[in-house]
Amino acid sequence: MDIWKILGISRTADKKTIKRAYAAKTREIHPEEKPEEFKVLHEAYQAALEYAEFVSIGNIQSLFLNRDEFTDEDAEEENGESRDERDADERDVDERDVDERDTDERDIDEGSGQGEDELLTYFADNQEKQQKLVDVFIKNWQEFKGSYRNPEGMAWWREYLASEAFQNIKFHARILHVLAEEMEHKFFYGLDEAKMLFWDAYGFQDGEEENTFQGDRKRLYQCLHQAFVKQQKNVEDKARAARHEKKIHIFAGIAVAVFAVICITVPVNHYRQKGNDCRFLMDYMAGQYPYTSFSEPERQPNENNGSSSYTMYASAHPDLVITAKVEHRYVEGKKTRQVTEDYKQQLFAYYASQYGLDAGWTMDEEEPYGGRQQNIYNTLFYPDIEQIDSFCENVEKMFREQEELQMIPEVAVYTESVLFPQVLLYGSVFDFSSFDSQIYDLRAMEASELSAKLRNNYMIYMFQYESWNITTEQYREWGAEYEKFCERLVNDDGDWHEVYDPVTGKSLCRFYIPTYEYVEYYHGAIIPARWITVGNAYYFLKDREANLTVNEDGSGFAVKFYGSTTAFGKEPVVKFDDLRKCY
Amino acid sequence: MAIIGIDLGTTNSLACVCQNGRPVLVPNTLGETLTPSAVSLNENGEICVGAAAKERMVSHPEASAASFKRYMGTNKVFTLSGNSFTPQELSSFVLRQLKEDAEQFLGEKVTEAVISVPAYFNDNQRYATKEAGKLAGIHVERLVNEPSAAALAASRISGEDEGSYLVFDFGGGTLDVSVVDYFDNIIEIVAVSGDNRLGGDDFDEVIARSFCAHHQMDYEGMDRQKKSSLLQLCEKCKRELTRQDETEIVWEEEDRKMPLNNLVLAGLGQDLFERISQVVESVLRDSERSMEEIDEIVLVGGSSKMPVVALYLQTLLKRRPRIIASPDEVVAMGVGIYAGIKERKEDVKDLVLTDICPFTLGTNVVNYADNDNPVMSAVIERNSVLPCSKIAYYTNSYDYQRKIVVGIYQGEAFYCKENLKLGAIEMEIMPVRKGEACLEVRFSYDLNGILEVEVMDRQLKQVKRKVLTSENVRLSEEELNHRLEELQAYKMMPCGGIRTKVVLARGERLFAQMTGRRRQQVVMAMQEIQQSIVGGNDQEMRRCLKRAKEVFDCLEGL
Repeated sequence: MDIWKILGISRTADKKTIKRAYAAKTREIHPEEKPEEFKVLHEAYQAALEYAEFVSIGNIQSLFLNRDEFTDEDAEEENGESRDERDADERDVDERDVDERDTDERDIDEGSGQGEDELLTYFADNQEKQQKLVDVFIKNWQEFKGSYRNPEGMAWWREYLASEAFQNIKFHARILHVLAEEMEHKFFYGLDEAKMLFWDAYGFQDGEEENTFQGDRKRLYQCLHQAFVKQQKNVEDKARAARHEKKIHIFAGIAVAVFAVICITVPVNHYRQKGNDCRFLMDYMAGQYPYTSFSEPERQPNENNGSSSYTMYASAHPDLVITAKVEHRYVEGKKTRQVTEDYKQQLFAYYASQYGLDAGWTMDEEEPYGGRQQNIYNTLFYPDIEQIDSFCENVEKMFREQEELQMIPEVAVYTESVLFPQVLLYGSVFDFSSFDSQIYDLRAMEASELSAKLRNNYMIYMFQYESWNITTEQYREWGAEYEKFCERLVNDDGDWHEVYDPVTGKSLCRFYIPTYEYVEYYHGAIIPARWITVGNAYYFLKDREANLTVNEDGSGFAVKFYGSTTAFGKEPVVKFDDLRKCY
Repeated sequence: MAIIGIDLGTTNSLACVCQNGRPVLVPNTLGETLTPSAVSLNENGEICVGAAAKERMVSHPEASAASFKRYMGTNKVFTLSGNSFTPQELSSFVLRQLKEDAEQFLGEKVTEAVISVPAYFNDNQRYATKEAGKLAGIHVERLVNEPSAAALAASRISGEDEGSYLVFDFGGGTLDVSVVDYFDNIIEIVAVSGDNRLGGDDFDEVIARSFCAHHQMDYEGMDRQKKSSLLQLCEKCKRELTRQDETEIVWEEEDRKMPLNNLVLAGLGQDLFERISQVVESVLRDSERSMEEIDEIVLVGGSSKMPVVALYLQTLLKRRPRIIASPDEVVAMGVGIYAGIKERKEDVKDLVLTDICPFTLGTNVVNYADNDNPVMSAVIERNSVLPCSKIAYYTNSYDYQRKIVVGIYQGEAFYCKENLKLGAIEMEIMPVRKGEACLEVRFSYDLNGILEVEVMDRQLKQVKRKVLTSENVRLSEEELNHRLEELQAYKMMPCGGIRTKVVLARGERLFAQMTGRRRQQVVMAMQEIQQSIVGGNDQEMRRCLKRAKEVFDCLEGL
């Protein structure tokens, strides 16, 4: 049923009218008496409010083509919405005399004049003072983030965190928020030593219940507590290793006395063998990365499977920590070792940050024959199509200048991640754009070439998924090429759609829109594909005799549906949820 | 056959009824509207509730309990003179008292009540509250969130036609901040946020700690009785500071003093203010509103009477808060009005209060990075309007999966294990390739806080439903009835004697707290009362009580 009919008004974007109508209706349909009917009414009310909200976001006049339904007056009224409406509205309020005995609406200043001023000044000063201190913190924090392994920086922080200045503001909402965000993601790549500084600074206690805290404070406690537990475990491990060593010596001593050679060699050798792994690892690393030297590895044994992981610090780049795992495999009595390290990713991220690029990695899991295979791709997240040229130049520069990156064979840019870090529809983008051109070897790439390719991919993405955000200019520039691209996609399940130039009326290009039943969504949830693209919305709506119109100035589309019109402007204000409203 | 509204608070409880469209607070036998939420078991095995029990908290801490609301829905057991009680049982005594007071006041039987609970109460805590009602012999169908009740009262009392409120409800143990819209007969809660471990009591503790630091005493190591009497002193001083700028904490027993003024208190409470600001910021974020769009700040809850709190808010929000009614009573009035709506009373029957779900409800989905640590996928987002019903779609995570377990969780954390698990539904699904199964999960959360989950396999067209009542902390109907009988065996202290008992209990407390000549005076006043009780002369007794009260007031500097 039409929501406007339920509310008993004609379609409007005036929130006040909607609220009035809803209020009037509730007198007949009260939730205590008719809960089911009220639910329907309430849903209609919410839908109407959403509609009003949606209309008021965009530039209404330019987006709506059906001017007859939507006059200029209406638009004006909506723009100047809300605030002063209340004055205009004068109704009898018989509730006014409710509870007269509470007319002593005393303001708080009653009685204590001077004390109050003093307090207010105190709070205001305090707030200002805190703001300044917080700004200092934020500024230093931003700098610190880039170079947290710098020993000087660390010393500064150790002092700062203990200082009264920090203690005064440590629970400031902004600081808690910044810290919690950072710690939850990549803070120090798990450098517990630094995290422990914060643990101490905040005076958290082990065994404190997490539930004692709320919000960001709780998040921060959780992050730091993990580090604390890890550190405790490390200390214990070291103590155990020391005890173990001692035991072996004693045992060896007794063994020499009582038995002969065999007993001595087995345990001692076993221990030495593990010690030798460090040397082996260092040799291996040195061979792999001749530009870098490594610190003495710190060992964390895994007693379950006999493997150990090591933490090393790459001295060429004080920011780099690598963890490497040494696995022992026994092949017919002979021991073999396998080394894996994630140095490459860290190196890549390190250099990227030096060149002002945002780097990370994405994991791609496949299970071809029941087994699991993981591909890890380094990625560069790129900010905006407008900045693509400078981005590409930086990438080129980085690979040209840093010889060490040439040592990393599989550095590549995975376009979907580079271009659309915000894209959630991972699977489907993959289907569309997984052509051989997608993975580029950045070591041998000119900036101009890269930027052209990225632009091309951007265009494909835009056409496929955000066609409502494409401007007429972009249609003119990319339309023909996109149409060519579309020919590769043709199958039985799709349809071609024309896009006309709003000025000349000539056909600019054709879209090919495949229709799926479902598309995989984030974390395995699925949503119908037709929710996703305007192109598909177009297709879906065509069956229902809705029409899609291009705006005169080319700034977007308007979709007319069920007597309402929803507009899609060129600014990326349109989200999937908005699209869903078409249905 | 009346319906009453009850504000079951951490420190004080109130009952309220709706008469002629107005909320009328029910006075207790002492003629006061606030009944302290304290329960004590006296030497005769009688239960006493309210002021008398509060006084006994100091003189007989082992036989008394207070602040038990904080432990609602947990398995904590309170021991009063060797008898153990759960928090809901203790609450039921308070409810029983309020019910009796209301019956006295109305002259008719009370069968049903609407009780307010903090918005952040989870399902278990809400259930425990209803259970307390049942144990007190009252039918409790509807629970109202405290901020919603406060908003309801505020909008009725203020007489404004429409606008938006920020309701700042700062009680003894909890802080709830909500944004509320109202227009015509509609009151809508837009967003709620809170800190359920932050309250006026924290200020008492802060003062007590600073007092101990001042005198190099060990706060943590203090015994229960000492701590409780120090906290009471601090609370008294905190109250004094609402009326005057300066005061002095005088601990006679230990012969120690410390001056205190609001400025010092503002400095002491800095941590607490930070936490307040976090809550306020988060509610504004949730409601997608800026401070300019809020028309009024309404202060609710006893602790918001503190000038430091009100003025801190003024600095934070650049707006002068407004006290609409006595902050202690606003919630109760709201619940009272709601009781009127529930009863369909003429003057208030058109009012519509749309409440929201204050927490996120959702299910678990596979976390590909760590299989053992599933991730929360929200179905009903927090601040959704009630009643609400949402559908989400899920699929299988590997090829030819036969069974899916849909866990039901409540909470805001990213990982499921950090959220509260309410239950699970196990579902056989059609074995298909990964991602091809389609499971429709529908969550319906109704006005009474009952969650129903429905899972449907779109391919097999099979449906499974579950209404959630997590059994672990809950008693069965049988147990409940059994316990009800047991509790009924505890006699409530007879009404007539309460006035005397309160004075006597207060005397006992003062005796424990005072020394020397002051103590002597307490003893004299007490002896006088006891003699008059024996004498049986009503007039004489009333005179004695009045005199004793004057003496005690004088001793306590009131």
